[in-house]
Amino acid sequence: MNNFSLEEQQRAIQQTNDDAAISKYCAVSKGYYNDPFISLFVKTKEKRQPLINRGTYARVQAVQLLVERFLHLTKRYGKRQVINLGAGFDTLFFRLRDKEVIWKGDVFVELDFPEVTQMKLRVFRQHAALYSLLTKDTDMKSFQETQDGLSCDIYKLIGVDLQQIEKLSYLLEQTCQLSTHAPTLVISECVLTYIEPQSADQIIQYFSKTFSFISFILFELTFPTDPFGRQMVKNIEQRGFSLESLLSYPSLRAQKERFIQFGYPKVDIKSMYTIYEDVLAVEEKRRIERLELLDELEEWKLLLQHYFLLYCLKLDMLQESEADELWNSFRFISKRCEEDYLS
Amino acid sequence: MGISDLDAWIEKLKDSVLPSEDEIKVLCGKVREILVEEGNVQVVYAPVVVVGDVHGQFYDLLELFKVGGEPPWTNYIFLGDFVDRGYNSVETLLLLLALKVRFPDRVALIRGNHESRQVTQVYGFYEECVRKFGSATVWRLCAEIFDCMSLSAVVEQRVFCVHGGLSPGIESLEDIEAIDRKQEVPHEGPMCDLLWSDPEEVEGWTLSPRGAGYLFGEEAVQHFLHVNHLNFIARAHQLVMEGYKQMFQGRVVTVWSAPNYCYRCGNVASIMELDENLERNFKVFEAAPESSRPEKGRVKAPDYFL
Ligand SMILES: C[S@@+](CC[C@H](N)C(=O)[O-])C[C@H]1O[C@@H](n2cnc3c(N)ncnc32)[C@H](O)[C@@H]1O
Repeated sequence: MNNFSLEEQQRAIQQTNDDAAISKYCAVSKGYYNDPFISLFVKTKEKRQPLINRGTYARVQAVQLLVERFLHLTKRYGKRQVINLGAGFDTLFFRLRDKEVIWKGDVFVELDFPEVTQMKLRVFRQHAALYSLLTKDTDMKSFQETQDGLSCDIYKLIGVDLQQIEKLSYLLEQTCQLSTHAPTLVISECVLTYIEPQSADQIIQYFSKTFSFISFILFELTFPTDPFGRQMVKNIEQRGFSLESLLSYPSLRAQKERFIQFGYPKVDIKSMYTIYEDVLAVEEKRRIERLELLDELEEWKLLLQHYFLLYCLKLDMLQESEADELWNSFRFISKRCEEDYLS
Repeated sequence: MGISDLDAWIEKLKDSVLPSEDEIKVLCGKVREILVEEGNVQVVYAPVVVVGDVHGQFYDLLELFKVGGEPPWTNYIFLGDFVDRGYNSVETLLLLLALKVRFPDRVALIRGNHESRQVTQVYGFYEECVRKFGSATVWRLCAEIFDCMSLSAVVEQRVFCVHGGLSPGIESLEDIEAIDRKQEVPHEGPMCDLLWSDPEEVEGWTLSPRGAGYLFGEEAVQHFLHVNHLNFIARAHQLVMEGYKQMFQGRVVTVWSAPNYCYRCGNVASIMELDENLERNFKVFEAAPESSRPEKGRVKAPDYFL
């Protein structure tokens, strides 16, 4: 436990968003991947080390790959819903909309603390490029803005503390009118780990209980108890909050079991090292590995082994064979998975 | 610059007081005179303490001297990578150079792959020099010193010491002596390999995934030791969480001397003492406690994916 007040902790947690956005901006400006929107959210002269740039590339690519797979595989089931928890300044909606992988009829919801959604909204207002993607093909009658939120048919930005689970469910089911049967994807990219474990568990459980066709993607830290992990926790907690969820689920195995326990029968988990080595496209890796010198491979491996990507599925209404087929097309295939899971 | 000046300097450096640019110029002149006279394979006598990568972790280097003893009472071989990554590369390098000038026969400085213009421009030493002195002059002076540093050492004709490892282009110690080392570290070839290669469970030679140097296996090691009548190889270059690692039945040992590397890795560090009989004794140590660092030596936490 630390000595920071609740408000201070919350502010520090919100500030992790600036950090994530800066890392993404740095990787993009070094040419690791393409994101025409992130620069609108970030003004900085900060630089990131090559290993952070390369890891950020891996994170963004892996998450987007899974999201696109989900959207591709669920095309035939009608409207899809994506819920981005603790979305911060994530530009995923704009990237997907730009590529036309989500379209009219789909719903994309972003949630974060009101302090953060307000800032996001302010950036929207400053940039016509964002506005026009938001309003493209939408019925302007559906368009509404508040102080910390925005809503149109396809996109909703909502300010809320995710720990208020009742409010969360009301906002999603009543305010946003989400369907509990449509294919629904929840993304939590470095978010749940900042939330106290009981609340985080409730959130995970809420989605599996409420939605009949649901997938959850979780990207976060792991292995807090080995020497590298202990130092990692110490360094990150210096920012002024504690990483309790990380300590409650301190391994890949624990995280996998957590999702099985909370209602997702099909779960895969992979360390980011495995994802980088076995999943990301070889030609792309060859290209980005030439962008900056990264010679410290031991440190790189350690860092990536302390992050993971978990994804899972729960499909109540499909035949078992159809569900299995969907799952098999969704998963990442890698030789290393067993080994990873056991560590 | 006399002995008493040097001693005063060393004491000031230990309190992290930096000399002026002009003083550094004088120091570099002196170091240069000493280094250019050294062979590519330095001759060193036991007992000696072998030190791996330090990487600008100045307060941990002071900790290291507490563990291993101060020069000249302890004889040292530093296996390179003095700079980059850590926040105090300038202090670290200047202290080692001052010690070299003060006790030239008790301190051996071997070049690492980070003692290079190209690498220091990416990994921090260049920026640190500009920040601390307002221009790149000091960096330029130091880079010229890098070009003079020796490439390897042999202790009592039996222990080969090098930063990285072996090269397919090098058969014997004479081959190393034949290298014209006074240049920027090349991108390939024997000199590059000595500073970049890693031992690995491979057959023969494989290109290193680091982008320079090779991975070399047990066979290459045995052959090199046999041809040159050596007992084993001491090298650095790779982070080892436990501070040191022996491979190939002890024919290769990696010594790592930067505890909590990059303030991120949580590892311990070590130094290797070789006694008169060349028996190895590893001394493991941890990072200097935060409380022992002066205000400006406090560590800013490194970046993660948040
Ligand atoms: C490290 S950022 C990640 C942002 C984004 N997911 C990304 O990957 O770029 C964590 C985000 O989670 C949000 N967050 C953390 N706890 C939250 C909570 N209880 N309610 C709402 N948002 C929360 C923070 O405000 C912050 O924007």
